[in-house]
Amino acid sequence: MMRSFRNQIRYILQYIGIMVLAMLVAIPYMTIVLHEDTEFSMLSYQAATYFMLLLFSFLFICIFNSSNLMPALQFGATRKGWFRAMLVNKILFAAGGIAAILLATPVAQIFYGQPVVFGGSVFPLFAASALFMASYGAMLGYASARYGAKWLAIGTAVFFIVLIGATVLLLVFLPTERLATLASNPWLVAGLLIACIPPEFIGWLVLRKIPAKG
Amino acid sequence: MEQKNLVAAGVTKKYKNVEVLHPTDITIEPGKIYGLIGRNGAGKTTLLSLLTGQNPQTTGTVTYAGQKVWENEDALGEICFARELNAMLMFGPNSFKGKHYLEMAACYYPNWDKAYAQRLIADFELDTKKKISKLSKGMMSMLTIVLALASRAPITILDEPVAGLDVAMRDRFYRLLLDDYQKTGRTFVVSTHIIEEASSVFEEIILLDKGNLVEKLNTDEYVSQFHYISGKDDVVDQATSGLKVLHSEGLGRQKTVCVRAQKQNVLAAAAGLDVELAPVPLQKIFVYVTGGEKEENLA
Amino acid sequence: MQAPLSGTTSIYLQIANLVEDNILKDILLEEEQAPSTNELARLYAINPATAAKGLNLLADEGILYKKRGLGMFVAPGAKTMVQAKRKEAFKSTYIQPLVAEAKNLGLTQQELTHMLAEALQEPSET
Repeated sequence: MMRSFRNQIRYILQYIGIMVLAMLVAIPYMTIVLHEDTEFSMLSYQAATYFMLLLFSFLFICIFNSSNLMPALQFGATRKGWFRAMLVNKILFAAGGIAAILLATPVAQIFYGQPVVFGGSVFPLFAASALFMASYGAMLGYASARYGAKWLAIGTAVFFIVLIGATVLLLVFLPTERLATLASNPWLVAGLLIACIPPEFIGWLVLRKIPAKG
Repeated sequence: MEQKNLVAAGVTKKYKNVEVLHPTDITIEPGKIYGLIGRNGAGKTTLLSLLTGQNPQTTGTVTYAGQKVWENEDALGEICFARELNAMLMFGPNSFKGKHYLEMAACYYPNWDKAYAQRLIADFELDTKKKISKLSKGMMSMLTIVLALASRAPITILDEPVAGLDVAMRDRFYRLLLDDYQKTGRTFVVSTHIIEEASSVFEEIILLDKGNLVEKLNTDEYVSQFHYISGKDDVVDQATSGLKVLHSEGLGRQKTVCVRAQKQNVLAAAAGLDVELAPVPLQKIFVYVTGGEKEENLA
Repeated sequence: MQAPLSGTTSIYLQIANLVEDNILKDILLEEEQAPSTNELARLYAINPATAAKGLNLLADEGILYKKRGLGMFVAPGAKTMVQAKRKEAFKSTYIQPLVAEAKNLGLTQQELTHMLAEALQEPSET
């Protein structure tokens, strides 16, 4: 009983630690973009929020994955195979993130009577992303438990199509000059690029030699 | 038909600077049931996890049918290592349900026999809708047994499969194991602390002590090397003067010693003396060989 | 003098003994099929290799013989063979312990032979 309680505490502390780490990374970035000119700040703010959410979720997924990883390694999965599965998760998440932004538009319209994604409250975006992540996590957990990495790969293919579709929609809806400013913001581009790499990379470095535990 | 041996050559394992497994060579041949015995912390689980590519060895190589096992999907698909389940995982309670655990296993073992798994679950009256962290120790053991047997892996390794099982369930498990073994001729390696009732199941035993592979031998041959000699103390001492005595106990002038020697040597030594000879059960041999009696002397 | 705690002999010897017992008691008749390795392994929850070792021991002694593809059968004259074998061992397995115990109890030779004669008169338990 005591052991179980202590484990719970350790688990919570680990989780909080990761969250704090994610915020420490995200806050300076947010400060930088928030000091851009006011007309553009809202967009930057949202981009920063999205970035932060991405980071949270990646780390969350890393934890989530590693709890899945142990049984998988016990069943003779290779670390390489698991790395592939993690990459698949990443693509799934990117697709989902974009879908969440798009979804936030009609949601915000319902609540505020105006489109707010590009120039309004951040809250709906946050809520939609959180909602998405919750369902995504549940789906991912279920899929990897039930079908293993093979079916996750098939799932990826489907989501990849959604991702491309969502990108196209984004490009269509976003005015060209804003897109240009977005692309010209080196912090934003760099941030998004970084967001696309590290967790899996670090994950792989750790996973290469990790022993399976009972 | 080529023989698919699982071979460890000169493997060691160090955690930090402590070598928990000293250089070990071992060959697991197909079509046998092996019993792996050793005291707590002898390195049983470490050896098994190295053999199954779940833990990287510090030095040495592990091969299956001549191919490296580490990160080799083909080899890993043919080797099932049913570990002891824990209520806790690295990041909190083990919240997998039994059925998800088994469904996940089914993804990775090409020979997975779903119908067999279901038969076993029904037979054990196992509730697979329960989370693993909510299962009793015995139930967890049953789940690992289902996993091991249903994997139908040519090499199946069970780590403490009978932990927490009552005597009737243990008997049931060994019968199931033998039943499946007779049908398929798979290789089994079973580690256990409860030795006596299992010794008749194991064709060979592998004895580990303090990170060393002490013995890997046919069970009968091994057991037949040990003998009890008992009688009056001076007579027993006379009989055992040239023999290696592993253990000695007695009451008053009565004395019983355990020696390790070939039967004919023991018979020759005891010839003409008023002593009784008797075989030594494996459980006792294990205690004497691994030095468990030190604690008895202290007590 | 106290015997050590356990009296278990090797399982394969016990298996061989068991089959011999069955032959002696006419439970297994000559030219009849002997229990298979698998049957023995299942019945006693032992490794089939151990059961096979026991049966092979009897085959080597000519008590059982192999019919290819069918399994082991009781050889003609097996009962006499087992009887001869057991008679040979009768002194060391039964008479010597009996005499040793008799000495411990201080029985005279006369008393012992008298008891033996008496026991032979009584109807057998089975």
